[in-house]
This record gives sequence, structure tokens and C-alpha cells, in this order.
Amino acid sequence: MRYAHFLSWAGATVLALATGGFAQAQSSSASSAQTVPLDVSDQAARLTWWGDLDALELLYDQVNRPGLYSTQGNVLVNEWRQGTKRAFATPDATGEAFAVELDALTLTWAKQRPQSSMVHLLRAQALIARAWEIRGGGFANTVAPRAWADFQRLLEAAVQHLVSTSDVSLQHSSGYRELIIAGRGLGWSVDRVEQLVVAGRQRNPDDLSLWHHLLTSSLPKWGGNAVLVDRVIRRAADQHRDRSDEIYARLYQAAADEDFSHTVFRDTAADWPRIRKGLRDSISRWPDKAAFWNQLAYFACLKEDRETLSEALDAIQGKPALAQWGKNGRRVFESCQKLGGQG
Amino acid sequence: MAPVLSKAKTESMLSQAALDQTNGVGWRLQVTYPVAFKGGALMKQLRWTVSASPCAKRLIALGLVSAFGFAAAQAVSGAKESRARADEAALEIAGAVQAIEPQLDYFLTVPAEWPLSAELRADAQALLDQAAPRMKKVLREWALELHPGVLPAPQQSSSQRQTDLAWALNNRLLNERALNALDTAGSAHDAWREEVESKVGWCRTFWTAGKWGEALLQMDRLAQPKRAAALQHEAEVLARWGQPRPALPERPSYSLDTYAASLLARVRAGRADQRPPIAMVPVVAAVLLNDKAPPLAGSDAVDPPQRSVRCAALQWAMANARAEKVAAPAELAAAFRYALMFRLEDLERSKDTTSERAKALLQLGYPLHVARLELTGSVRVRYTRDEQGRITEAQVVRRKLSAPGLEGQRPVFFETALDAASIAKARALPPGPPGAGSVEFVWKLE
Repeated sequence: MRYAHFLSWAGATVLALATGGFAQAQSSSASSAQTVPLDVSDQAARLTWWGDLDALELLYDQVNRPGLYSTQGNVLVNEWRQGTKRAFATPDATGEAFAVELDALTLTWAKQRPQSSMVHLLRAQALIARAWEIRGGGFANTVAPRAWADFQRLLEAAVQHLVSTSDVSLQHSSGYRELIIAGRGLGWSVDRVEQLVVAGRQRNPDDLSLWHHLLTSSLPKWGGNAVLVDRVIRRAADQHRDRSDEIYARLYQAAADEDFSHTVFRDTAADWPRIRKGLRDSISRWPDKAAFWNQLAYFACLKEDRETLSEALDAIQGKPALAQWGKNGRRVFESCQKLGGQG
Repeated sequence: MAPVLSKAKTESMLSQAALDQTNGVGWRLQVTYPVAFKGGALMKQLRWTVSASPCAKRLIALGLVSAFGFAAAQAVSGAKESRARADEAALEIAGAVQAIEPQLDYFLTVPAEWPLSAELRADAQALLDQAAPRMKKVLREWALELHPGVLPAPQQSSSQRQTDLAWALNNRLLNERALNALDTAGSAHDAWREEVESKVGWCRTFWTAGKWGEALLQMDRLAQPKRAAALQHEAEVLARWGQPRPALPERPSYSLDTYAASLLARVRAGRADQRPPIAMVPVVAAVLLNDKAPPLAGSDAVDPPQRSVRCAALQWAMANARAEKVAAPAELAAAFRYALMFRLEDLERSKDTTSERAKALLQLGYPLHVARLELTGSVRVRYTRDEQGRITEAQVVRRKLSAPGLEGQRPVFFETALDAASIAKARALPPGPPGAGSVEFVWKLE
């Protein structure tokens, strides 16, 4: 019989943050960017899961600053947002009751801490999560007729909440991000969403996810088209001159991942040399390079750029990150290995 | 000068045998065994006293002289045997203490993994270091008290006696920890704990750190001098380790588990007008609202990680109980403290379900981890039958339980360990007349 051992879990990391685990970066330039190896997403998910608002807010304050990046070059606050979103996902076998509880919980939080932009963000996230639980993630023809009304109502409630608390909730780029996400479900135009991107970037110019969500709104599956996609991506790249090619590559990779898949070069204006350079920039800049090598190999394969493909496959060493290889990733990787002379 | 037949007094920690003469009118054979430790529990004495009238003294003495050779030989032989048994007992005690002491050491160490500031870590460790010698001494005293003694000759093997003693010590230590967790340094201590324990998120690491660890984690968030005062409260409670604690709150009749179940029923009903005033945090909602999840209260299915979830669920119930004022604040506070206490039910489960003994125990409905600690006694369950004679409500109303090592102790760590099994037995009773009734279940390991 033994007494259980204590695992520090998130607490350890929160403490590390509080005691100077990393310093705040004041500059938003990539050259001075700081990467944080801690798994902010997991911490945020766990703290939300347990309702530890004090620790969650402490973490939010630490990561919600320009110039802080994950090891893959994502703005760190986005990792935090991904984590809280995970905690709001309804588990199997609980059904609607789980979302109802979260609705009530986040409403209480918002009332208890009206001056916290974080809790308003959580409130909006919970409403949006519940809306999507009701709608489902499929195309419109897969949505039950009665679900549309609830979907719309909840998204409108999220928008209403953010707008009514805008003095606090829109202090940071994260509030704009949630508005963009809700607005997409409500059918807002790309131009309208772009205004939110501009406003959000004024709060945090490094928050690339704002562009990412604008890109999503411009995809064909959301009523957009390839021309719109290219316009958004070029505008985003132009706005980030020090990371221009890198952002160009990242957003085209997202466009392929979310919609165009293996036809991204056929169906869009994607510029392979620029994507290749952008991915090479990412590889040289960020510590966690595996995803970028896989993306480089995948795109090189699509473009049949054997030299680049061979170099990237050498770097992958037969251990692909299949999520980076599009649909049917295993087969795609194997055929690309043959093309690269390694099959 | 009175003859001294034998006097073997050794400073050895293991044994002492002495034969001495007292006053010339009688002989006293005294064999003492200050075995290994002070404390006296094992100081067994064997005395024979022979008295005589003054006129018969010489005759008796003569007779004694002739008989003395034989008696002396017998005495020396007996002393040797006794000394061997004393040595054996000393080794049994030392072995059992050695087996259990690491668990005490674990309690007396602030683990490096706990994310504490250097200052609080040092203060907490200093507090424990200060308490450690006395707590270890208490452990040895328990061992002396619980050892069956060296006379008369025990029937069990020495290794079995050592094992039994180690289990008894283990039980005592577990129970003492539970008593320690229930103890309070007073109203200021209670107020601080209530403030800490009502913080949402407090339960996150509960299953691993326990209340002591959590208390330290929370202390780290306090500013001085509040933090020093909080640590001092813990020191005061620790100073009572091993001592009677007459001021401990009684186990309240009010059950937070029962209230939590009623809250859950209201949530499940889905009616806005019945909703509890305080919503669940995600982890509680994910578990309580999941039909496939094991129950959280008083169940054998509660595994260590679920202690944290149980903590959060009880915290949710407590917040609602306060908001709805379902009981007096003091009663609620006691109910919460008891509900969060580390219990026998929270220990790791036995993996042995295939041995003949395990099968027999399971057949009786005896939880194996409870049987392993030799918990026996009786549990009375009050129930209500519906019109069809089926039991719809069942609640434990009295427990009389004991286990090795807990003689004279309030077995708080073990008190509820047979609740779930008793309620299950009650629910399995054949149908009977409608209305209220009660039944007592006797739990024995034969």
C-alpha cells in the first residue's frame, strides 16, 4: 500500500510562469520572438476543466502578449484558446446537459467577474461551442431543420454578449476572433469580417489566427472562392512583412487542409516557390520543425518537385506526421516516397 | 547479605532478564523485558513470591537449598527461553516499525514535485522536521502497545506476528492521518480552510496531493502574515499527533453525498425552475452527467483519480447547500470535512479476485480491500419499501466496526468502508411489507 504521489500537473507550470518562466516580449517582430516550450493548450484545457479561474486568468495574462509564440510559431494566446475550447467540447454520453451546465457556468462567471475580458471570452466560446454541437460539423444539408434556429440563436447570443461587454471583451484580439467565428456561422460577409481582423490586429498584430479565420470565411465551402482566398492570403502576407513568405505558406497550407486538399495547386493561385521559401523560413525559425518538413514534402510532392521532396523526405526519416499529408495521408505519403526515389 | 541467585541486567535494547531476591523471606523471580523501546506496553513481568513464618525460615531455607539446584537450573533454562522469545519479539517490533516507517516518512516529506515557492517549501519542511522525532516515537509506542507480548508463548510464527503487527500499525497510521485531517486549530483555522476549500479549482490535484498538499498549495497564494498564520495552524494540529482529540466534530448525520444526488436529479430533470443555483464545472458535468460513468459516492468503483472529481462534485454540492441553506453552516462544514477525508474506500483496490479466499469474500459481498485490513463489525441500514415491497431508499444509520490496531481509537478512516456493501445487501433483500424498516448486517471474516 502506498500513498499516492503528487503530480504537479498544470499547477507547476503556472507557478513557473508566475515566477519568471519566461519574460514578456515587448516587440512583435519575429526576430525577437520568444518561443515557449510549455504546453499552454493542455494547461488551459485542464484549468478550464476544473474551473480554476484564478490560475486560468494568470496563464491568460502571461500568454496574451504580442511576441510570444509556441515552438511551432503560433501566437501563444492561440494555444490558450485552443485549450479552453477543448474543455468546452461536449463529451460523449453526456448530451445536451453538459452544454446547458457550461452555459449556466460561464454566465455566472461573466456576472462574477465583469471586468475580466477572459471570462467574457469563455462565455462566448461556450455559446459558440454549444451552437456547433447542435448544428454538427457537416455541410448544411446534414443539419436537422430544427437545429438551425438554435444554432443561429446561440451564435447571436455570443455576438450580443461580446458587443454588450465590448469595453472589456474586445480589449484583446481574442474577443475579435470569437466575433469572427460567430459571424461566419451567421453568414457575415468577408468584407465585414475583414474589418474585425483589422480591429483585432490593432490589439495584437501577431495574432495570425485572425487571418486564418478570415481565410476560412473565404473558402468555397463557406461561399467564397479561390480568388477571394488568394486575396486574403496576399493581404495577410503583406501585413506581416518580416514573415511575409512564412505567412503566405501557412495560410495556403490551411486552405489546403480545410478545403482544397490535394488540388490546392490546381484550383488556386498558390505560388509554389513562395510557399517553398515560406516553409523553409519556418523550418529555420521555429524549434519544432517536424510539421514544416512534412508540409514541405507534401507540397513538393503535389508539385512534383523531386529535389525538394527528396530533401524533405530525408529530414522526415520515414516517420511522417500523417495529419500533414491531407486526406488518405498514409497512401499519399507512400506514393510520394516513390516519387522521391525512397519508396 | 542476601544471596543473589542471578542478576542479569543488560542495557541491551533487546532484552533483560533478572532474578533477584527481595528480603530474605521470600524469593521473587522477576523476568522483565524492556524490549527495544521505552513506553512500557511490552514490559511483561512474571513474578513468583514465596512467603514463610520466621520459625520455619531455616527449615524452608534448608529445603530450598536442596531444591535450589534444580530450581536454579529450571530458572536459568526458563530465562534463556524467555530471553530468546524477548529477542524474537524485539525483532518483530523492529521489523514492523521498519516496514511502516517509510509511510510516515512520506508524510513527513514535502515532495520535490509539489510546485511550491522555495520559502514555503522550506518552512513546511522545517515544520515537519520538527514534528518528525515525536511522530516516530509515537509510531514505536504504538508498536509496543500493539504487540501481543512475549508471554505466554504465542502460537503464531514470528514472521506472522510481525506481519500482523505491521498491518495493525498501518491501520493505526491511516486512522491517525484521518484524525489529523479532521483536527482543527480553532475558528481561525476553520475559517481559512473554508475559504480555501470553497475555491473552485481547488480539487484539481486533490487525489495526489491530499489535503495537506492542497493546503500548502493554497498557502502559497497567501500573502504574509496570513501565510505564516496558516502554517502555524497546521503545526498546532500536527503537535496533537497520537494524542486524544476530544474536540473533533462528530460525523454529522447530514450527508453531502445524498444532497449531491438530489441536486443531480434536479439537473437531469432539465426544468429551469428546479435548477440548482450553482452550475457544475466541466469536469463535474462530464462525469456526473455521463450515464456510463461510475458513481462517485461510497462506491467501490471510486479509483484514486476520481477522488479529485469527487472532491469537485462535493464542492459543487457544498456551494449549493450554502446557497440554499439546507443545513446549519457548522453542520455543513463538518459534513464537507468528513466527506473530503481520505478514506479506506479511496485506497487502491486489490487485484486478487481469483484466490479461494477472495472468491469467498466476494460471495459474501465483502469488499476485498476492506477484508485485507480485517475490518469487521456491524452496520445498520434503515430503508423504505414502496407499495411493491421493493426497497427504494436505504441509508446507513449506525456502524460498529473494528480492525487490528484500532483498539480504543475512533476508526474514522474506516467508518464508511462497509456502507456501500451494506446498502447493496439491503437493496438485495427479498420484497417485504411496505414502509420503513431497518436491518443490521454483521461483517466477519470467517
